[in-house]
Amino acid sequence: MKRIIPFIILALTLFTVSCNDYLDTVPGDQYDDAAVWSSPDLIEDFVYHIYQGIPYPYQWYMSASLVDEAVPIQNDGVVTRVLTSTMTPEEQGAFADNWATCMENWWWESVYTNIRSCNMFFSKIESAEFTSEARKEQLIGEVHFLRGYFYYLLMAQYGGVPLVDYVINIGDDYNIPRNTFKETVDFIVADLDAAVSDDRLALQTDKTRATAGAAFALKSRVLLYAASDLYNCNASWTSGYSHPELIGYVDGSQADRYQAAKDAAKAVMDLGAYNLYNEYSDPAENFQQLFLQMSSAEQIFITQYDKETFPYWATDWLAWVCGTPSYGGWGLNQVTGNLADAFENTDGTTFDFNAQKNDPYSNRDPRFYATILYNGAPWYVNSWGYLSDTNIDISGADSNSDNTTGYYIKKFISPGENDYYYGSRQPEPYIQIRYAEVLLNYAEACLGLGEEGPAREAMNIVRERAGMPDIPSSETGSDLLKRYRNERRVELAWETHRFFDVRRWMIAAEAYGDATGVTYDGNTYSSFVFEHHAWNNSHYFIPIDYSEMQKNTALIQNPEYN
Amino acid sequence: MVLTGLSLAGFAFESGTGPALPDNRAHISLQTKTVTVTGTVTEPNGNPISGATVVIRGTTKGVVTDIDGHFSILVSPGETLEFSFIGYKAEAKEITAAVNLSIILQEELKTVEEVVVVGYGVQKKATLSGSVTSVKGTDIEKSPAMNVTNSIGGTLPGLVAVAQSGEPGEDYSSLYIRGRSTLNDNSPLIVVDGVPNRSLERIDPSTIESVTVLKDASAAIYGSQAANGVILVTTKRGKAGKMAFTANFTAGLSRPTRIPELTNSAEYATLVNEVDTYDGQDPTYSEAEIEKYANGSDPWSYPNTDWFKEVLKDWSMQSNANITMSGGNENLQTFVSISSRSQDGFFKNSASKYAQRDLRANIDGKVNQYISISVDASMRLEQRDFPTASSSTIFRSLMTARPNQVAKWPNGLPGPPLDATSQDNPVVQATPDAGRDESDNYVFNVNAKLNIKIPWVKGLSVTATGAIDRGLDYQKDFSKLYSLYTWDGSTLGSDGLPSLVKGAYGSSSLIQRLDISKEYLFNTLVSYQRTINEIHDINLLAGVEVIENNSNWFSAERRNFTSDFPAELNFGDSNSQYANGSNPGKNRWLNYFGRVNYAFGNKYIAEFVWRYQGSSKFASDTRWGFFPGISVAYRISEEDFWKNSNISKTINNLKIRASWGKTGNDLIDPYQFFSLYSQYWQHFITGDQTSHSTYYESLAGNVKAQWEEARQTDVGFDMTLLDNKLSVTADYFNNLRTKILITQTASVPAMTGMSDILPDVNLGKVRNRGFDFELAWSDQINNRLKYSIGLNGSYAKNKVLFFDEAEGYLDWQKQTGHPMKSELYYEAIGVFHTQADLDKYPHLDEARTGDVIFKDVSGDGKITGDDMKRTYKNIVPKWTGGLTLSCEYNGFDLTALFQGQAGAVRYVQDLGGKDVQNYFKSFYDKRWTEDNPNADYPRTFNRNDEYWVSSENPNTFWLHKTDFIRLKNLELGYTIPSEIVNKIGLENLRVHVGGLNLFTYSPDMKDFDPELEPKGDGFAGEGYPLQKIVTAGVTIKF
Repeated sequence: MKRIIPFIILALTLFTVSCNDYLDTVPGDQYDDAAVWSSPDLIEDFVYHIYQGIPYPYQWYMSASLVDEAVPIQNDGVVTRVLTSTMTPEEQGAFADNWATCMENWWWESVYTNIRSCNMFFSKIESAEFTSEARKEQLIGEVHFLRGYFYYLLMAQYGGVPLVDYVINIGDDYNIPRNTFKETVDFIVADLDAAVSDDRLALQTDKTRATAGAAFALKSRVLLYAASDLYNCNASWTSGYSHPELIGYVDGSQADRYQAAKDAAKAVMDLGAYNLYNEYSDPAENFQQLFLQMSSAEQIFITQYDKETFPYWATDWLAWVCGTPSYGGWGLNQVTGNLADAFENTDGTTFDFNAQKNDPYSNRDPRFYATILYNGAPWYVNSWGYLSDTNIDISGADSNSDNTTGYYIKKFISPGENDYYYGSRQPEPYIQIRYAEVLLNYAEACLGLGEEGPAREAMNIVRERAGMPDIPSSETGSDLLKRYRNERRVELAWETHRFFDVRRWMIAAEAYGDATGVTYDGNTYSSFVFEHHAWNNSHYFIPIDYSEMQKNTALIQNPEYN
Repeated sequence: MVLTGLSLAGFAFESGTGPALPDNRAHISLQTKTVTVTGTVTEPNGNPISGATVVIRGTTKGVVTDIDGHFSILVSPGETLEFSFIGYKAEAKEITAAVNLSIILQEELKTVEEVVVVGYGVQKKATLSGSVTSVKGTDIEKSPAMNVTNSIGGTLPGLVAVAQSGEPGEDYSSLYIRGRSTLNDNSPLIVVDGVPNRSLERIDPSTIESVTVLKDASAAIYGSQAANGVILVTTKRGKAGKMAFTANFTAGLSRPTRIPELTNSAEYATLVNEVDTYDGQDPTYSEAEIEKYANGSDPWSYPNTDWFKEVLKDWSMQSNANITMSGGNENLQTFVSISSRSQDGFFKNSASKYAQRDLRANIDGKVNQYISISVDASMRLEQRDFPTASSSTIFRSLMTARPNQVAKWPNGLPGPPLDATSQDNPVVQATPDAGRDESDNYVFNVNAKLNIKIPWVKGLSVTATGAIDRGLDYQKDFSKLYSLYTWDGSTLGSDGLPSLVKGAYGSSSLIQRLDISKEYLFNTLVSYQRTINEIHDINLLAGVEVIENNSNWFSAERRNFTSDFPAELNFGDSNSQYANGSNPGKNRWLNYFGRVNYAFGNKYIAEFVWRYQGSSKFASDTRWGFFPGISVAYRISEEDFWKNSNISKTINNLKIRASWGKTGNDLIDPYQFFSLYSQYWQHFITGDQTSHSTYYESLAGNVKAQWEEARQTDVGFDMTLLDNKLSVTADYFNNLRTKILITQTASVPAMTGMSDILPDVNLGKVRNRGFDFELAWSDQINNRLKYSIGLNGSYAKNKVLFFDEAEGYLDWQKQTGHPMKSELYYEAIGVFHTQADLDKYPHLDEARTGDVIFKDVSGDGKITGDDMKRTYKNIVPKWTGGLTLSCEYNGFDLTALFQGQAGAVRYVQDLGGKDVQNYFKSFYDKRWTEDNPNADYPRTFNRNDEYWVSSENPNTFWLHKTDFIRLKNLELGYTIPSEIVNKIGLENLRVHVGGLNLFTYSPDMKDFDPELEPKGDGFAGEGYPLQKIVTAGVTIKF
């Protein structure tokens, strides 16, 4: 008994003495601030995460299904609101966090989260110690590129946005107004220039990360956007909007902007680092293979997909969700007749469905055969592990319960590796920026400047690779402009350009007409209206979220909403 | 009685080994003639009492009875023998001559002062000054629910239980004490046998002695974990006496309380055609096709499927078997319980099942008169089987699957996947054919207690308690490919029947996972208990305690198994293997606490409890807090003026209580004070094909983060009336919760980039006020009909005093000043019956006749986000209550518990769509059509296309009241007369039948169970339904 009492007293004392250390525990599966910013390796891993914020188009609903390139087979508010131009600040459809992850990473919230990461990096990197100063400088260049990329995503959707270049903390003033469109473009350009200044990215050759070429190419895209009609029409499409400076230029000359866009594209061309992919003699096969290369000289900026930790939605996602039913796909996003009909005939003439409906799929632009699966196209049927050659039959097994446009996507899908979601994954990267776009950017800028010769020349390089004849030198003016726009539509189909192109060209009213499909009765094809779409001018820009407006009362909404 | 036990040590035992003390009177008695008295000591039912003391009055001479209750003692005539045993009324008998006695000891019920378990001890109920309520284990045992949290709803005033799911192994109710006081986690602290954080849910009800709820500041002794109230569970302990065995076996049948009625094929086709018409398209189905759906003439092409019927059984089995043993002697008492329970899921050939095995041994031993030791050990195995598709996926499929699609073909083969984009067919997914997700969760709880009475200070004792808990959850989730059969609608086989194409669906993978949780507790208490001058009762307690808990898990996965067997990792594809794991870190608490309790003449009572607590969840300079609680009580009925007046004839007892205290709630994520960086689940692949882990800012730190603080005030009274037949307890409470940790998602714009990494900030302020009461009446008529009625109820209403809100919120959108946790809705004020209605009300551009009218709250003639309004109602009811009835008559006993609630709402939106989803029958019946323009419901919609079914436009049209009254528990038993059962060697035999959720009345919630709180996206309350159970069983004592 007497021996126990001292023991208890001792135990009590021990508690008390050791109490301070006793309560100091640390989380077992996270790093704290100091650990990350003192380790160059962890800093690099932090930057890798910022790269993961670059949008990736393969989703349940493809961005192609938000414009006239594709139609979603399951209608849902996510896409319907965009296609019928009924988005409101309360309901932004695909442009706010949605279950279908359509436009994921384009969303206001995600983009600003990624911008915060960039700003966090800039706030910490100065004091971080690196053994290699070059490595540190390169990371700084990469993050400038990334921040420029994220602001470009916002600019394309909203016009001028609040330009935040610092880390906002809890309790700061959140009422930050929108910058003007001009300031936004200048900010992006400044970031892209900073990315390459002091040769920061000179040694970077990894195209999954920012390279000098990628920074130049993105700059060409951004400056081309800035020079486009939508931002240079003084908001003529809306009446009485009191802040036109938020959605376009209110002074200066459009020609100067085209010149800047042309120079930026030329800078990429002058690098001599890129070339159009041209390895197969058959132009259709060549164009198909372009997207099935691990690397090529046409790639400027790419995203590799993580097949290990995220195997279900890999690059073969398209085969899965957009593939033909007989192939085992879900046919969720199907190519529109509108896009299919945009492909010219081999001789460079415009395709005319009514005239050619008895034999619509002969003698078409080789890119047609590499991009679209049509009735009778050879493809592979997957019988759970075995691939066998067959033909698409839109009146039979490929009808997808009679709910089909008659066209499925072929571009990007590797028939060889694609064993659907049980087999090995398609390993090829998605090409975010490729050289053909730069050539087309150059052509468009030249057209804007009235320099039709160089424009035609640049387009012909693209057409030549595609196996298409040169544009007749007699073609000028609006005909040439129309040809250019069609060329860009066909070459860059489903690559997330069209949605913004029809807006900045201000041809959206036409693009949001009826979506068509084809049926086949065994003898002849007929076109039908698959779905009615509608256009409302408000939809030149995406509405800013209602609750965001409530939280930041300095924000001004885009025109024609409310 | 305790005194009897204590004084035993001073006696000389003829048969015992106790110290023989000199006794002068023994010499005297030798000089007179003695006689031998023999006999037996028994209970009233004839069971012998072994170990009863037989003592000659006024001497220390005595014997104890043997195993059969026999004794034999030498007595001088004229002396008196005293017979006593713990728990029984003592008897005395004067001896005149040699005799053989039969002594029957009556159980001592009334004289044992009722005690209530409180924090770190027990207190006499009569002199309790806090608001404390409790329910006995025997009442909980009457419920056939497999989860204790589903059994206690309605039994205790102020305790609100909100059911979450009925799935075997996953069924539980969220518990709230006095409603909700914080915007965060409102879970009360659960303390089982003095050890916090043990499971209340899965504890074996047959081992529960009592469940006590500390509702007010008397919980302050639990400091920063007490603000949500404390539930104390005490397990049964052995009683000295003959080993008593009780065996119980109950078998039951369960089915869903409610499942929604959906449209049949013909009705569905009609609705789809309406959607087509509204879209300006040709109808999908012809009249002839609809006719075929209706008459069922062609089940291959025109099926009419009742999906619930195809997948669910009529009744599912459950069973519960239990044996307890209790007994011992003065020095060693044991209680042992063994239980086995199982429950089958609702599905046919169900992959969902639950089984539980329990073993508990509680042992109390006395080393000597000063030192006693208790050791409690319990082991529980929880075996959960689930389908590989979650039950919410399956029930969502059942609710949404189109009726004109086959579940099973007429030849019995499973039908095609629900739609082209899915792998789903619940007919197969609910069964082991799609694999099985099995887990074995082992729970080990061990605690030991050493109690030392300090010999040289009367009333002083020291108690040391140590507890070690371990949880091991081993999970094996094996998904396999399954076959579904599709038919193109035309191809026939050689037998003339449709030729079905077999396809493999689902996926093949094995995930194995191990979760380990550990907790230890060690505390030392010093207590001092004295009564001075028979009028000052003093009770002091002080203690120190350390608690640590931590957990971690890891998992491994391989995919693409070539066959269904063996289901072991090394048989999977080594090219698709994944591993994962996590260790969130340790939580530690260091506590100093105490209680001072003083009662003057049993009339004036005052108590002070406190805790000084440090928690590892917070930064070093903010982690310590002091939490005091004060309570006073006045037993006015103990005053002489009361006792002497007539009023005491009516009101036998009256006690008035008041309490105030400060407590905390630390149920928040730890380490909010750190700026944290987490590993992202996806890797980054660089151009050289190497895979890199990536890190992102996962939390913007708040160094000042602390627990929430509660200031709790309670005023109440306890009284008994009419010969103590009626007891009434009522309390008013007023709780102010400050420093509520909120993430400022409402006010911080997304543009800051912080939306997902906001730390908790101690900003919110909520007041929660209300009252609870309990009435109990018990009486008996003619000594044969015993009955009791209990009614309890509570009302709690909270009001947000400060909350994080967007700067631009309009008056009708603010939470501040109103009940918390209510959502913003458009106010649905009807349906546009006609074009005239459309012209009359402001509406969205897309609105047409048959759409829902949203009220133009802002009055600007437009419908915008400004017109969203808060309803100030949510899923937690304001009113809750229970009514217990029980009676006994001639061996029959009946217990019924009615439970009710009011003041809560739930969002239940009809699903439905042209290509994929079925509609509710209630919608079909009431919808607007051109021919029925005055309907209450809107026109047929397609998925979430219309603005009033869009998830972005929540509106009150879909908001339903969940008010209900239900017969929660019913048990009818019959005890076979003892004359009969004694003959077959049994002491007691009782048969019983009963049920759970047998009847429910809920006027505004017809399609779903009103009690179920939806999980997941909560669109329409999908998820595993609650259970209705009927049972029959037998209880045997021997």
